[in-house]
Amino acid sequence: MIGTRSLVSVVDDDESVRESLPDLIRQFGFAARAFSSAEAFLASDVLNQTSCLLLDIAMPGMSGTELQEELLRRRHAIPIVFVTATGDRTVRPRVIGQGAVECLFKPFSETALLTAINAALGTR
Amino acid sequence: MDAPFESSAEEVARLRDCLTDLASIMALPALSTGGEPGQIVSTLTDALLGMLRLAFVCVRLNDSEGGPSIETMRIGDTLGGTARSDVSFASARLGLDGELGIVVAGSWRLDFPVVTERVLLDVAANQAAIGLQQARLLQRAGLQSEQKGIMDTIPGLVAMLTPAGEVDVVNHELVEYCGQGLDAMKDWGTNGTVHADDLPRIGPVFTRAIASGTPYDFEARVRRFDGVYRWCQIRGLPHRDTSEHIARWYVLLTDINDQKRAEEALSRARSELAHVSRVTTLSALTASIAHEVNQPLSGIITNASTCLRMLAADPPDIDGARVTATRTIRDGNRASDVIVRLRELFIRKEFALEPLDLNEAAREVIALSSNDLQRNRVILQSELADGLSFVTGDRIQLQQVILNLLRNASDAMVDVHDRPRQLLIKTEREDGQRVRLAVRDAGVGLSPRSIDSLFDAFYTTKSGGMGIGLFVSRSIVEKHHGRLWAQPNDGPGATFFLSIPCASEIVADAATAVRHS
Repeated sequence: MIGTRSLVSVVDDDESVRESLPDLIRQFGFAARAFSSAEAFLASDVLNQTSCLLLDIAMPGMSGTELQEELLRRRHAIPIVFVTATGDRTVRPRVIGQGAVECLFKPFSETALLTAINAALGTR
Repeated sequence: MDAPFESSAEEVARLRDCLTDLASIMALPALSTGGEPGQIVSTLTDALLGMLRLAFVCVRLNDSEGGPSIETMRIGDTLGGTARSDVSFASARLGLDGELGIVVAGSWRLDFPVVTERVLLDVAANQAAIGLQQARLLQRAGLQSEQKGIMDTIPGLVAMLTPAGEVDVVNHELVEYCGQGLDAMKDWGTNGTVHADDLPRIGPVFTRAIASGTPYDFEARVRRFDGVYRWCQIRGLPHRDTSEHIARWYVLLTDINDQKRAEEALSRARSELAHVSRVTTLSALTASIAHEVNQPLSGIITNASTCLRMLAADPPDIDGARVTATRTIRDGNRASDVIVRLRELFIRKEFALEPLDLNEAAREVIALSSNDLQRNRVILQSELADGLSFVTGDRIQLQQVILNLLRNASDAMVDVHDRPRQLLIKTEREDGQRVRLAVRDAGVGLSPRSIDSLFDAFYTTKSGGMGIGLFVSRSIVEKHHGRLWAQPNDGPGATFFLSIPCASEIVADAATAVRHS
């Protein structure tokens, strides 16, 4: 299954996001997996299959940006789309400067999400 | 035949003697030129004793400063030849109304005083009175010049007032500072020496202090020699004589204009800082609220998008759509929970219910805020209904609401200058077992549009306000099953109403019993 469709992985500590986002992503026609923490994602078996990572920034334990650095360090060049509930717009240029494809502010539209995922897949 | 002539000759002789005596009294320099009062009195008594051959003469001299009077008595050498027990008296006042004292003369002669003696006594008393008056004036002038001499050496703005509060002496430095002399200083209350705007405030304070003899201390703008009004601290201290009577007032003026400006600047900076920190808190708060609300909102949008896509598929995924719609509702509730939590954040968790008298609660708040209200020149009037039923509630929280309403009312009148800043707090019984409290101001009032948003969180019309007060107040009142609302007045200003249900009779009775025990 995963081999035929691009896999989009979601890492977010918020349960409702983990429930809702994968369903929508699947509606877009991608495969989806959800993880509740950066550590759980790093420990999973999908690191190499993931074509796009939807990553929350503020999480207990390892933060989204720390995961970004860790992936760089491990040379896993997974395109990252950050999703955050913060209202602080200065976050976006910062994370994009560090190599993220996009940074979406919650709540975001499905169009914005699809555009961001497509952009991420296009960079691969 | 000789008798009339003889008696006439006697009369002439007596008149001559009288005139001689009068002349010698007039010639007594000590009487009329104002020597020492004691010297005047002894000269007077000596003259009278000798001229009228008196048994005795008494003088009572009143003290000019209201102190105890001094009494002097001289007894004549002769007992009139025989041991007699009958003495005749005559008295004369010193000064027009006897304000300086009195002279009493006694003689062994039964016909004392004959007309000429009466005249002599009166003239002597009159001369002495003139002398005493002059002595007093000289003494005062001497005191004034002595005081001025001392005051001139003081490196400060100093004045001396009479016991009645009239400016009596001003020192050199004060004359220089104001650019006007003593005579102009006397009219400080009318000639612009003190700023006209400050007179209504300090006038009564000054009058009260002088009347009660208590020190005073106030700030007022005083016109400097260059016409510039500068803030001065004016302190007056009564100086009492040995008999505790106020002899004079000493007044010290201190130019505090620069200090006052600095204080104002500091307080402005402080309030700006407070505003900034409130705004900082507010923005931090807003960020955290945004974060909390954005999470469920994001879920709602994502789920709704998924739901639409599932329904639009061919064939539609009804089961999937149902699941995502359910999630949408759950996230909606979650967002609403955030708002509830936010409200609780601002309200004390413990809710101490007790039967309480709203009037008493209001009175305490009034007492608490009376200083603030006075400073803002708010005239507070309270009409608290008698026999008001008890309500059940958290005293502190309801008092917070009342305090908030009073503050808002006072703040709303800060810019009111053309009418009195009237504030009315009123309680009354409402139909349906409820008690109502109204706070009516004469302030800027409410626009119909603002009435709807008044009670929203973060809504404020005040530059320094955070807009939490009414929002929290309404939450508190609603917790008491009550209502809080606002209404524009027919005239200027607005009225805020608080209505809460009465305590049940049993609770009210219990409370009454407790209060009476």
